[in-house]
Amino acid sequence: MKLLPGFAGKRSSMRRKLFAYMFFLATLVLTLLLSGLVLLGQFTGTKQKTYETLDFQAEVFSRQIQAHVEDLAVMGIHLSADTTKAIERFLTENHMVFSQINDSEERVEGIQRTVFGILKQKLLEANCSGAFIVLNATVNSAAEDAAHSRTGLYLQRSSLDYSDNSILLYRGLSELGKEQKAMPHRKWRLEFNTHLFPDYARLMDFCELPLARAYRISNIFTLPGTSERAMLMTLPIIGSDGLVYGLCGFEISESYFRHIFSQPSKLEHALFVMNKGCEGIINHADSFSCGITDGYYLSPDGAYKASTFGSGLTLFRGGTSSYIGVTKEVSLCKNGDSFFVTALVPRQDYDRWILEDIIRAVLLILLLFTATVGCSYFFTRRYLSPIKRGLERLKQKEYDSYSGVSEIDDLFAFLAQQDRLNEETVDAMRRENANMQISLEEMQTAHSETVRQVERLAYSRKDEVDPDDYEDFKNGLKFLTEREREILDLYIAGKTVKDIVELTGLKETTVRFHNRNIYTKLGVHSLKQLLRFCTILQQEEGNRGRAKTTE
Amino acid sequence: MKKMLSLFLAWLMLWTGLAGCCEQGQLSPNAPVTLTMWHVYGEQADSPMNRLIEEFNKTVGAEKGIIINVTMMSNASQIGQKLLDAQNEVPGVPAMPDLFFCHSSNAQELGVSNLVNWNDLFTREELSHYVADFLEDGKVGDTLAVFPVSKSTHVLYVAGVQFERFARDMKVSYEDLSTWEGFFAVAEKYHAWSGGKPFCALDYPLRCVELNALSNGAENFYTQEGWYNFQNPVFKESWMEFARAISKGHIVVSDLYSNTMVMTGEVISGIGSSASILYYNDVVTYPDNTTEPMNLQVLPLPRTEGKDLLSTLAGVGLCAYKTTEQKAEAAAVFARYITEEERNLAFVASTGYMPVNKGSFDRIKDHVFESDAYRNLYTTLLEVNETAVTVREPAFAGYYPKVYALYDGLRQLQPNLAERYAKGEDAEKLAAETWEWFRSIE
Repeated sequence: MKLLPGFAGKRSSMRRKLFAYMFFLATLVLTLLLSGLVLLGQFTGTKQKTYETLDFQAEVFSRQIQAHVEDLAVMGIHLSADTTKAIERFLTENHMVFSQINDSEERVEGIQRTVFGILKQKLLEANCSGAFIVLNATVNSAAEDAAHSRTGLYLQRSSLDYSDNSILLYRGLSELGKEQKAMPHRKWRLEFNTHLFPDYARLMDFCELPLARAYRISNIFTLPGTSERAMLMTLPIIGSDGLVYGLCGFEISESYFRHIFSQPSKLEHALFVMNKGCEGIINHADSFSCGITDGYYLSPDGAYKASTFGSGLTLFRGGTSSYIGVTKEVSLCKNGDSFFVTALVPRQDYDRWILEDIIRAVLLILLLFTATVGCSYFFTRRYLSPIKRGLERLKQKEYDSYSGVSEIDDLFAFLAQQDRLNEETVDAMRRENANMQISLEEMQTAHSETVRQVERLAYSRKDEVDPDDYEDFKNGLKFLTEREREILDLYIAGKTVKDIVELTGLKETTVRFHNRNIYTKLGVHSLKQLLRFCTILQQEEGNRGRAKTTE
Repeated sequence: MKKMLSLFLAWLMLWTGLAGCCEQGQLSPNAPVTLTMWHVYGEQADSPMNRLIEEFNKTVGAEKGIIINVTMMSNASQIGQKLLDAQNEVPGVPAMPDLFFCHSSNAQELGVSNLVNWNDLFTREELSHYVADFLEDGKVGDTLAVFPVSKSTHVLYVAGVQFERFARDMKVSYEDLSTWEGFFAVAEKYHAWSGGKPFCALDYPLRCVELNALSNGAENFYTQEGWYNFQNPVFKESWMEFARAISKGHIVVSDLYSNTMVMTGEVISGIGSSASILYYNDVVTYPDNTTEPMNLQVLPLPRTEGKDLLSTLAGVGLCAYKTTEQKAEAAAVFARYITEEERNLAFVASTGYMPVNKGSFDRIKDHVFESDAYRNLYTTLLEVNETAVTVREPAFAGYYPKVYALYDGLRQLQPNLAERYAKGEDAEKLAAETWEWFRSIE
């Protein structure tokens, strides 16, 4: 691995080293900061965030539906009880039994008139799009398909505009409706066709008290003659003698559901679906759905197959579109029917969030990287500039300037002090040197004088020397050993025996031994004779050298 | 180092700039815009408009990033007031939609400056494909505020089985219904034959009065305030003709829609919008729960004897509430989609309207209709289109609330008037009472 220049251990500039350290430090701090934020849950993945959002939305949606159904159940119980009372009062007043309502326009009209007000009031009070009372009787048992025709009233709100209390008569006597300010529906019919009423036969067969446990929610069906789909909450109308007079309840139409259950959401696009009995699949035909309150709604298209998507999410894949969602089971009535609510977001939105997250992360990393590099670069420059300037001044020996960095200024002051001390030392040394030079010159003068005196003396005594002895001396020189020659040279240099002992590290006896050998080999009898011959020899050699130079 | 930093900053600026441009871009399939809508097609029944919207959302909408969400269905007579309520944020009324259908008068009441001018979104060449009269009908001043999607006219619906039974007994025919004189005579005969039941329910009786008055040469019967000049004698006489028939109980102002009165057997004919066909049942149901087939026949509105046939040009058009440019563009995409030649024909043919695209109009003869009733309707509409002089509906601001007040008053008066006439009171005098009621509305 190639290390940054600052960490490579090679010789590199102070700026590079500092930059590398700062970069490392900034990266470390940012990494720790990001790790801390991750640990504290400030950064979560798109999947987890989507799950949390949808889970919350599904929870709110399911609670809203539960509360709504509970309210409707309360209203339904009152409707059933009030209708029973009204019917029994009507029967008592007219001295008849329930079955005598059949085949009489007058009695049917009478009983519808009796319950009309109750139904209308409950419709306006309850949160629903319609309310109905189906009586187990028909106005004409001889009419075609009379076995499946039942009299009753079915009122609907004329619009989703709740400032408008207009009522429509979907089933019932049109004249009575008009009289009660309920115009006949565009697809009005006089009686209910039980074939088209969801689960009518079973509901009539299994009517049981108490009412609090008797309300049921139908499957979704299409209101006859229209394209509007609806779900009914039904309750039995049971007489005090246990005779079932019929059914009553409320309608929640698809339009109403969409309008009333639109969810507030911070999501741009979301879909909320309620279906009965099937968790693993969403089929538009069996479910109601709504969008969000700011207007978004796109109806699911056909059936959507569910598959696990991870992190608690489910992928719903359809023919033309896909959604990511969270499903919750919700209990709406007491007979064990399962209902499921699902909060969904379009798959394309989810994919876009993922892409946006990646872009955001890349941008964040780029931004942090740029900031790290930029800051490191900037602070390195800012920090090193005075130091570099200081170093430049050091090179120039300009210690009297102000760098702005106290340590450098201290160093400047120290160096200036040192400089002054050095100059004093140099001055002292120069003086001492000058004194020594004078001493040396004096010594040299004295030595030269001594040499001159010796030379003069040698010259003056030259005639006193026996030429043969001198000749033996010169011949003997070549027989001297290296050590003997060294000692002779020391004698010539003016050294005493004691000096020679010190200089050569030999014992005095050894030196004296060498002396004897030297005397013997050179044919001399004393040190004085020896030095005289040496001086004569040097003069001769000096004369020869000068002669050669002259030539 | 500096160079790298500059390059990075330049890239960052370019990227953010481009991202900004994308966000401001008008339509994107990745971030669809939702337009809420109120319409009047198929209220309480099956809605071909909803199906068209579903198809749009799945196809062009998905491609371009537009979602249309229908938040309310109403009818042409009520939607104007509901829009005003929504604009005024009346509690309980759903929020103001981005797209809605209404009359030109409603557009005026909402404020033309609040509405998109379709002229800004369509080219001249595009607009040349639409029927010029229909475009003209949607103009408020110079602003094309109401874009024509479909147009209707008023026709006479007759429950064929029931009428033919009566016609056999009373020696009358459909031909007798071609003039107002014949119409009133048949109504009188039916009243007598049926034991006092009205022959026809009129959804828009005032429009019949106007057309009859125009045929009789009435001119300038509107005031500058957008109501009627009650000094106009021809107009008054036209009113009285209808008022006498109402007073005698021969005809009635419909309770709300004539079609419901036909299907409950209260009347055997109705005058209403051609679009009412969507709401007619196949059978008539009587109070004893017996039913019989209807065999709906559709006839042109009666004409004044010896005069040209006049037909009314009715029907709401599409308005877009001014919000963002993106929504305006999306609205234009949707308007083009629903008025495209083939689609416009298919849509109107299932709703009882006339197409607005010239190409659709030309192809209507060859269209295969879903039922005899629809075939009857379009045979009549083509006949009307070829022979009648078209008269636009009044588009005065505040006009329709007065009309509806007039109708409400007549509905309350008419049972009493018929009762008094049966007891021997003079029809002329009773009709005069209705005139006074008319005059009292300001």
